[in-house]
Amino acid sequence: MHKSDISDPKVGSRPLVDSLKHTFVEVVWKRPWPIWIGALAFGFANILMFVFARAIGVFPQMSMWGAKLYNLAGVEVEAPFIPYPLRPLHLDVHSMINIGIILGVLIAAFLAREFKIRKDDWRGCLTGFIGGILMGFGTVITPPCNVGGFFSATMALSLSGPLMAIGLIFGAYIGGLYLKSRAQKASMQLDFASAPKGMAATVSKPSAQPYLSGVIILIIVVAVSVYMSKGMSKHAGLLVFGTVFGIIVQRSRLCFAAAFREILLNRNGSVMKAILLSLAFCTVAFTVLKSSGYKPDHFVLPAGIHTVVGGFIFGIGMVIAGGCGVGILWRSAEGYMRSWFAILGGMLSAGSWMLIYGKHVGEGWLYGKPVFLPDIFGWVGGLVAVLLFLGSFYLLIVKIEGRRNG
Amino acid sequence: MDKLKPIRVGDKRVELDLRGWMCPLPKYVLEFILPQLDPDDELDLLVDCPGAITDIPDDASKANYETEVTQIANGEWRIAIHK
Repeated sequence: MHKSDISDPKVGSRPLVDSLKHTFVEVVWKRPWPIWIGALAFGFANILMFVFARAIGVFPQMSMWGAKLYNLAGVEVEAPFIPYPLRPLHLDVHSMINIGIILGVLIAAFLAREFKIRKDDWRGCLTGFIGGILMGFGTVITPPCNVGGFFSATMALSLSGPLMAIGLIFGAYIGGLYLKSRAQKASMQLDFASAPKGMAATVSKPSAQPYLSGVIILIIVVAVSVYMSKGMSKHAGLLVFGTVFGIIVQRSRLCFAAAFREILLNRNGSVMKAILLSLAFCTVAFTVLKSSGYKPDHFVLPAGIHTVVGGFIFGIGMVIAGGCGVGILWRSAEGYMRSWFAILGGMLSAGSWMLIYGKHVGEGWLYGKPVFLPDIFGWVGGLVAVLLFLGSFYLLIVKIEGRRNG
Repeated sequence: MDKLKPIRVGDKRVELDLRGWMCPLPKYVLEFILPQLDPDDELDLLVDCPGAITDIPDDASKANYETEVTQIANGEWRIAIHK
């Protein structure tokens, strides 16, 4: 494709520039990244963010946003997660991750010309809304969401991480069965033989969309400068980390909902295998940090039957909404109307938890105690326990995939 | 959105508009529609889900079909599928 550039003798040093430009523009910003690169980059960013402030999780912030909405509407309710009290969004340090994800996805989607307002009919919006409601309840029951409750908690050596995975696999399978039945139903009415004649879709000229990414970068630079000037470096940093997560998921299409959904539904575990590899790497890093005394309790969450049940509810929700917590933030920034409704549904259900249950997440009869694996097995034993879980999960996937071909 | 309405855009080409179908539906639909496709026909799928531009070529190649992806607008692609 770029043959003419390289063979033109007049251009002198151009081939190198062109080749670098090609690498940067095409490989980084146009073509999807391999999934294992996405999974490892996501994990690596999580280790760095943990060292900086905290590990990734996005739904507790959204439940605070929901409680805020109720208060604005005149219904007084506290936010369900104690460490995430009601605060204006721009002052809430945790919300910076979510806002950053949205901005990062916008940068990547604009550069690749992949942004589009993706309208949906009322049924699509309702499906997104219901998926969001299920995820919201899953978040407060588990707690929290898939990326926090499974991904971050597992590497944080919390028993709750592997327990949530069990619920997520089966929930995602149920959600996937629903999607597949819809695809099958629509396909049954298909008839290529009697297709009427029509005009083929035309190709439109490349648009100026990539330049919009410059506007987003400018917004981030201004926001970071303002936070830094006010001495709010945590806010600035988490906004930048969120942006990095957004770019990673948009470019690699690292979708946790797909990872869990495809295992049983299509006997395809390729995405989950990449995530498990990343998790193994991150668990070692978290163990080193925690055993040296750095935030040993971070992301050690209540464990019990509720973790599995919450994961199951969350799993159904994330598949029918078309993304987990990170996934709906990501798709909302790609212009998916369904994801906007999913975020709203998640906010309203999780935000109402104090009205329904009367106590904060983690308190009262529903929740078990946090179980930190090194408390039972020691540091090495705790690490080995998580690695054994990841290894067994990997082997189980290989076995399930084998049945597809056999 | 639930009805699939293909149109014939050439002697040996049919086009199916799946724009507005969120992932993974385009990928799941493919499994059911490929067996119904006349082997002489080429199928042009129109999609607006970025995930479909890798998922659909992967699944089509497993079913021994060749694919070619062209971006036709912001966030929209045509995936040409043929034997």
